[in-house]
Amino acid sequence: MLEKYIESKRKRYIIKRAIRTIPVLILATLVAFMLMRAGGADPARRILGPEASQEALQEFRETHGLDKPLYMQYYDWMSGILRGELGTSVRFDQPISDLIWYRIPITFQLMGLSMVISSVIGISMGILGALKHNTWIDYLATIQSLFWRSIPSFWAGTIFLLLFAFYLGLFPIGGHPGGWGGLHYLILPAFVLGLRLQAIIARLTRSSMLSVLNRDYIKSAKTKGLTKHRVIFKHGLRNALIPVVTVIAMRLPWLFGGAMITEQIFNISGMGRLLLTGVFARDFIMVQSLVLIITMITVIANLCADIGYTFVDPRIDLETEEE
Amino acid sequence: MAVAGLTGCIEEEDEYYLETTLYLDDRHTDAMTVVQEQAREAGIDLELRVMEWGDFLEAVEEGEPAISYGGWSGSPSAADILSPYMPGAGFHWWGGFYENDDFTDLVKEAQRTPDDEERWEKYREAQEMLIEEDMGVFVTDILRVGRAYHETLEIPDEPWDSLHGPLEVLHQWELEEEETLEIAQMREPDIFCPIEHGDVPSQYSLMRIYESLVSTYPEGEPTTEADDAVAESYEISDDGLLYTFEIEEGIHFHNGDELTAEDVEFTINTMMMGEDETEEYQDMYDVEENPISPRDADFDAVDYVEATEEYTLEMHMEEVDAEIFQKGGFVDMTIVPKDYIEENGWEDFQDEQIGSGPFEFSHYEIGDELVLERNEDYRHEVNIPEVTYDFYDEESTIITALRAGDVHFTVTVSGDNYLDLQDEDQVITNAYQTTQHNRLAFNHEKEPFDDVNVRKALAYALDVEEIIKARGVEELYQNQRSPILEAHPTHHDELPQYEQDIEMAEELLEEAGYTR
Repeated sequence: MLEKYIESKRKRYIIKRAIRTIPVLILATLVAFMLMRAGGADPARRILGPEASQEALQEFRETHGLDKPLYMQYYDWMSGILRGELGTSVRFDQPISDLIWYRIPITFQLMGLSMVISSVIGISMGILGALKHNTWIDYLATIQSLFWRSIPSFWAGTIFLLLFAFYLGLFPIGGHPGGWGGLHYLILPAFVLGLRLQAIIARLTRSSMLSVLNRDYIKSAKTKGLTKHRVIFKHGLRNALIPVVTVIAMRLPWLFGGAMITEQIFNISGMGRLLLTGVFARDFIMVQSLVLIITMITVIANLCADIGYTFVDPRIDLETEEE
Repeated sequence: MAVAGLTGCIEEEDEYYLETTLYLDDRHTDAMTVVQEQAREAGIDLELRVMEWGDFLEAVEEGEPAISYGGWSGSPSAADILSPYMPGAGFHWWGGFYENDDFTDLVKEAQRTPDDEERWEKYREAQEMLIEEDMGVFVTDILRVGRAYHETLEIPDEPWDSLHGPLEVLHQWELEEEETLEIAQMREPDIFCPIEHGDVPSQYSLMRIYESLVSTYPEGEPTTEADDAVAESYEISDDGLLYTFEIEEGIHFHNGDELTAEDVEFTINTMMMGEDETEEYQDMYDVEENPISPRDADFDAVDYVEATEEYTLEMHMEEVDAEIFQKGGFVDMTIVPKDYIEENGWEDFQDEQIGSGPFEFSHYEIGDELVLERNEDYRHEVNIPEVTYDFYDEESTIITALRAGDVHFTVTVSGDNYLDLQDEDQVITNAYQTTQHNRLAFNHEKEPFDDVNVRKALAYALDVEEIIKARGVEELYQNQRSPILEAHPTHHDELPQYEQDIEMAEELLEEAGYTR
């Protein structure tokens, strides 16, 4: 009976939560659309170069709908998206969907790998720090976390390349053969991306673990005579990880941001690098499409995290959540 | 946002005679900071307005700055290099709006002068005029491009001073072990089309897929000796109005079609078609969606071309053009297969890229790599089986890969990295001259540089050697009094010079009506 009640509540919650993402997405399309048009050089001039005649510029503007009023451009773009057409890249004169399709496996693998790396290292460091609270191990874990948070990824990337790829020859120096696979090309960049995220996860796991370990149910579990191992992993960690999982999901856009720099340094043709190229080339159509896709992925990931929550921890009050 | 141009004549108590804004793009900040310091000593306060490249282009084109710093690179033709200083030329605004009918006439006349010595004399006179009146050219520095390659690669010595450097003879390169040659490129092709391309990054690969009628390598002199020239010989009539080319028999395109005079005729006709000639072109050939040639003006002196026999092509001129072989139309000529294009259309051809050069097009993954394969039937030996052009955003990654031998050749290396690589045992560096020259360009329509005395004052205020030193790598820059590159037959060493003379600068400013 209770389970059925929870189940129906959960369904309602999921639907409501999903509907709530729609205005977020619309807002994202508007921001992406306006950002690329807010000042700066004329895209027609920029793409066609200094020797282009007025006629050529005009023709370019007409071809790409730049001569229309802004709201019409926005309408055209949105209706294109609803038909599944992202448009043609101004810089490369290729369908944007083709360009993105080629890069999705690369970027997804890179991000996936860096998430695995950051979760494994971050959570282990966090647990160690909490269990060996105020010992040299804890301090060491804290220092390493602080260190990786303070290091800019372009610097870490260059150093990693030099050290592990050039001097030690353990990994290839940049590049990726494209498509799924080629993981050994992605390990170094995934570490560069992941080590920063790991630092955040470690700090969070440590504090979350510390607070959980002081809770009454842990104390009672201990007094029940359960093994230390069981108390920590079954009762402690499971509860301590809830905020950590949220943070990982919330950090997805941040990872995309990091991927822009990392992909550039490691010469990986991923979505981040494409976005950066688009920004520099004022390829407004490509940038707005990429921003939209990244936003969609993030929103969906957050939605999944929220839904996952309701399963991991049934105590979450769905009614309150809805409000 | 700073307001462009002159802020006016300054009141007495001010430190400077005048203040104005110097526009530049972000690559030249170091050198222009030195210009700023030197100019201030002579009482000219230049506020630096550092802009991103695209914004800079737009501002200059709209005539916003009274003074700007930028570069221009033309084909090896002297008339082309001087074209920014002539109204009506596409890049006139780029030369700083210098207008002088005598100068324009002189350059045009030089271009029509077949005799080398006479032509040389006319170009000297024109450049003297430019230096006396514009002064912008005075602070010219010529850019040399630094290149580096790994020791496992063997590159023939000679072509370092040609237009595309050693890439001109890519098929003669050798790798220690037969494998894929990796070339690193910082910029990706803009327009990967044999007719429409105008950007060097496209040419690095396109010019290896296609061949030209004559080659301008080495040193801008036309020759049929080079491997990639399809003409066996050519003759020019005494009046300079008829060119007859004999084309080598037995040259084949990558699809097996034989290359004949008709293909060359078709190619030149396509290259002669600018924006306004699309209809005319489509009447001539039954091809839809023809490309728009950016080089139509290079053929202005040409009346028509005609394949008179299977291997004979005639080019009839309306007027003499002594430099036609050095213009982009000939230097960047890429002969395309007429039959294939007529049958399949330009769009299909664009995907296939069928030329007759030493390498065949394999594939191009935008943002990633462009791959060429050896043309097994090429009439000269091609040593390397596969060439990959890798596109990078980060030069330090190229340098690391180059040191490790993952990249064999990099088409450009910037100053600091060039210096570092010189100390590396396994990397060989070399710099070669380009047609690019950077200079201060004065806007003759805007105060204060509409006054020749003010332009001269700035010229006297500057010590060009110091400015070039500020670039960090002296080997890559050289102070030159003429925008025409040293290797070019019309280059002049002994043009008049302005030496730094602060007193003279101050006198000239006072003469122009400015007070301190």
